[in-house]
Amino acid sequence: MAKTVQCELCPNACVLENGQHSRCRARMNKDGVLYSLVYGKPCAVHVDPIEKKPFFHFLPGTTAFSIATAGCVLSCKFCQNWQISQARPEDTDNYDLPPDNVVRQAIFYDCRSITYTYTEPTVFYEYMYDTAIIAKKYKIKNTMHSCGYIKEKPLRKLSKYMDAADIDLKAFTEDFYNRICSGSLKPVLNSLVVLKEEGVWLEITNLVIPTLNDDMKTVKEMCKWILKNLGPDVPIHFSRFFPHYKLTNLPPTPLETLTETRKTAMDAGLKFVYIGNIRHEGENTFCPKCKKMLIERIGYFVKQNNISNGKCRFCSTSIPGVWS
Amino acid sequence: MGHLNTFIPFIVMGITSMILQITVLRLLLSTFSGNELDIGITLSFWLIYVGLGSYVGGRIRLRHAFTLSFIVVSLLAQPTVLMIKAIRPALSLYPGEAVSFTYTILSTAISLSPLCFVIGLQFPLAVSYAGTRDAAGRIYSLEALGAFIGGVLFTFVISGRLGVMELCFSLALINIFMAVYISRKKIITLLIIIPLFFYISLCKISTSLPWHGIEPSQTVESRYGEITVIQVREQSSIYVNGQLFFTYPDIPSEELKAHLSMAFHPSPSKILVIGGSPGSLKEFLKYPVDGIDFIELNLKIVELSSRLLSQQEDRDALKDRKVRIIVEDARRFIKRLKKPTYDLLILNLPQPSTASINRFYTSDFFREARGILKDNGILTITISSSTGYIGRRMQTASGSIYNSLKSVFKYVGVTAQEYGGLFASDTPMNTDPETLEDRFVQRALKTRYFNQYIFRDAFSPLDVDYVRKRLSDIKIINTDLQPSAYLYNLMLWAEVHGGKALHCLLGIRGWHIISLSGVIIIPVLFLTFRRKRRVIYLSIFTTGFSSMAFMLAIILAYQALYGYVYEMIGMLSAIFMIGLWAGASLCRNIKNALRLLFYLELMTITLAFTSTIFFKSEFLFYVFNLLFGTIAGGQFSTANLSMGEPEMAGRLYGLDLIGSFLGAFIPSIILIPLFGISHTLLFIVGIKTISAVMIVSLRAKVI
Amino acid sequence: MMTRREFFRFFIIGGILSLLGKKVNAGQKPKEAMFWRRID
Ligand code: SF4
Repeated sequence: MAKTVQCELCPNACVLENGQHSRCRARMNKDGVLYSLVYGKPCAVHVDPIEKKPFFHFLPGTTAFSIATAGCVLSCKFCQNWQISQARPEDTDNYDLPPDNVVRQAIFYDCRSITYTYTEPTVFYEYMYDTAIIAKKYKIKNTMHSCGYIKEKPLRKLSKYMDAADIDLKAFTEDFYNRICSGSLKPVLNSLVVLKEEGVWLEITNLVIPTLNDDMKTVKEMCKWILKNLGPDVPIHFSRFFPHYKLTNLPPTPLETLTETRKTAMDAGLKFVYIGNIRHEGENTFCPKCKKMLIERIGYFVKQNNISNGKCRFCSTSIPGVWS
Repeated sequence: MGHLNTFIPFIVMGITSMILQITVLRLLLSTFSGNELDIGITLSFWLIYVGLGSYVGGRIRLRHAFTLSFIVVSLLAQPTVLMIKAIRPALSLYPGEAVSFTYTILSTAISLSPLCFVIGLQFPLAVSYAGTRDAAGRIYSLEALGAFIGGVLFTFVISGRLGVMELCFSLALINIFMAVYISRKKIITLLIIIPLFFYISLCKISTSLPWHGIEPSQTVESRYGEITVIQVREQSSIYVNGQLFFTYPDIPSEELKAHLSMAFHPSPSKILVIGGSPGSLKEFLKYPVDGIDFIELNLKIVELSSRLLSQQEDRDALKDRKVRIIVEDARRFIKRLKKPTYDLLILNLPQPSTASINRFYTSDFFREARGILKDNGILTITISSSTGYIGRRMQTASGSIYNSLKSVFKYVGVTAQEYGGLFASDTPMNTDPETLEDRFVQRALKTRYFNQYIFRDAFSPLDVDYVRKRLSDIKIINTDLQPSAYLYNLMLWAEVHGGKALHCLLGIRGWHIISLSGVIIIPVLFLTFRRKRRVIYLSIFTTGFSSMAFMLAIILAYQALYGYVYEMIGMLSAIFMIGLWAGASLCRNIKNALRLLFYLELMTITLAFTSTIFFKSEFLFYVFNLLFGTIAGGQFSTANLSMGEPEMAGRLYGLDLIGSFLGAFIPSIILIPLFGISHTLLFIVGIKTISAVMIVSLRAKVI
Repeated sequence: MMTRREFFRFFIIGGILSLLGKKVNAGQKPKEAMFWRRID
């Protein structure tokens, strides 16, 4: 009897013979049963400001208990977490931290939320799912930073417990996803729509890489798509590329490129457009109506917050997001 | 045959081949982002093709073969350069992506083959052209002399002045004239059209080719490698040998560099900045400092970057009388200075993935640096940054630097992993984020991107603790002669840029080598024991092996101690060649050749044992190189003589080359990087001892 | 470089450790994954 299995978690849809490891390195077929190799074994555990994830419309000024295990469903040449994402779980130094302990630790460090981040949380789906259920019981919110490369069914199931998601929309061409990430764009767009439908709070991150995805025409197209399918309220973060992983010799993104992308997105009609990692007015949140500054941020720190009860303190326009 | 005729072509042969070799080596180095391991790989393929060529050349009976060989060399030089430049686009690499180890070897092997093969052909063709019986030895020495001249020319005249395309064009012309000269057929001159055509049509393409679509805005040849400027919008990035040095303007990074370091010191007044972007100078000037010394080795980089400065503030900073630009090797500068001068020393260099940069991350350097720091002076260093997790390879690479710092300084601090900072001092430093923040606020500086909140992030106790714990696990110390950080960075490199091959290589252990050598040596001992011809073969083979291994050990030791082999590689090779020539001519008329051969073996062994003495000064390096060349040349000549059969010369030459190939290949990819230079020298001692013992076994019987 | 004594020491320690390692591994139950199917 053949003991081949197929994983149905992400669009890679790995078909695994007995004893074979998956492409994401976190799963394995043992005697015809698919196992997760990373359950309860994170290698990165940190307490970070939630702005670092980045979430700008989700409990600003709070900290997030952040965990990740080894493995990833994609293999982007610019990955800044390649030491975990492209590693096998047996090659990383892991903690022993079962789901209930994650929640315990989050409470101990006074975190309002748990973030599944750094690599692609899809690879530790079971761990994330179980942790999320427990966290919810203890009134701790669940958030994830993901590349959105996951199939619809598992995503919908997860959405019941997920309060917010920051999705990396790495570029707006199939070609980029193909050549640079060894993946594809379509499933990511689909995930964005699904998360929106499921009512999960959504933010988008786009890493602007010089010469690879900094073409303004495509950026414009991307923003139009977001506007049409997700609405104008979705915050989008353009972040600056720094030489990493395989692209260590590519120059960092010029600042003018970032300001131009921001302008393009705002012109396209998106209301909350941010520039990440750089001190710039693009770090702050402005009221779309009265244009006054609502949240002033410097780096990952919130200096002032003029949103009360989810509304602008000056003109009472309600501001989309999760504020308490 | 005229008198001139008997030596000019052979010298030209040597010159051409040496200059081409250096050019190709430098080109390949920049294609593969400047890793010195490529020197060995390139040399070994060079040798194997030359060997093959000379084997085939011995069988060619064409009338004008020698003339033809000059023509072919002249026609191949430029296409070879172009081929090397096309390696990156052919592998469809993005700018900034590195070539994997397997492809490094493969593409070196392919791109060198035609040219080197023809260069190899030339030697036997020259011998048969000269016609006399004893010609081989004379041509060998003339070619060596030519190579010496070529090396000197390159080092002192060509390097930094002539671009690759101009150089190859000139070589092509010289070789065509040589063909005319030998054959006395003026019509050949017409062939000049071809190199000229190449030169005109390919000059433009060849600069942009390696960058795959991005047009470099400037390319400058310098003694230390090719400098390229890539412009993306207003921002220029400076590359040396294909490696990103810095980007300008990049105000967020410039500010971060300066203000993070400055915050550690309560009152920094004298600052030394090693390398990096001149854009950070204006940031230091915002403090009430007495002087800022900025040191950079490469004059061309200084000139180029000062021309690129687009911001007025940066141009002013450069003219400020507090700022002093020093063009010198920073290590030499610090060594000479000796007395405590600086409050802050900022090391702004890339990670030590090459032997020359590793010199700035060793405990030896840290000790020198401590000597020029004032009482509460601070040294700051950048290590690889990461987010979330520090992998094992990065942990070892950064940990060995951390540990080397700790072996010298009393206090060593770290930042959160995203910032990748290390700082060291002999007085305790305050790294409490609030203190640093207050200090920064009190100084009331105007910054655009830097802000006091960064301290909270960079020195968040939990994150700092994580990094410290991770790095403290490593107990290795990086020193000049045991450059472990370099090795670990190489491993990190292998992890990033793939190459299973390199991974396997890095897993090799000492006992693998010992047992494998045992398996090879025992049958060799049986086969050669008391058989004269085979003993001589063995001796020639080991001579080839050890001379190449020696050469590489010298190059890398030079690089590790004095840096910048790019500049002196021509000189080092030239001296070695002149030694070869001297040795070969000195030993031409010897009575008891076999005995001399034995003594030469003993001399090699002694030299290998005492080599560390020669590493003490730069001058002794050259002496050592010369001595070794002389011995190797002498051995080749005496082995030839003791054979007593001139027809065997070709075979001996071939064995010499095979030995040299292995002697370049094995040490450069296994012995030197994994076991260090001193162990490689020991290995040579071992091999040479075996062949000496075998000669003794003969003497008992024959003499 | 490694001496023979060292080699044997490593050999034996390595052997024992790897046996122990197997034991320890066997004691840990891996978690069965969600979302997959058998294909026969
Ligand atoms: S989650 Fe992993 S195992 Fe499943 S399909 Fe994706 S890559 Fe394959």
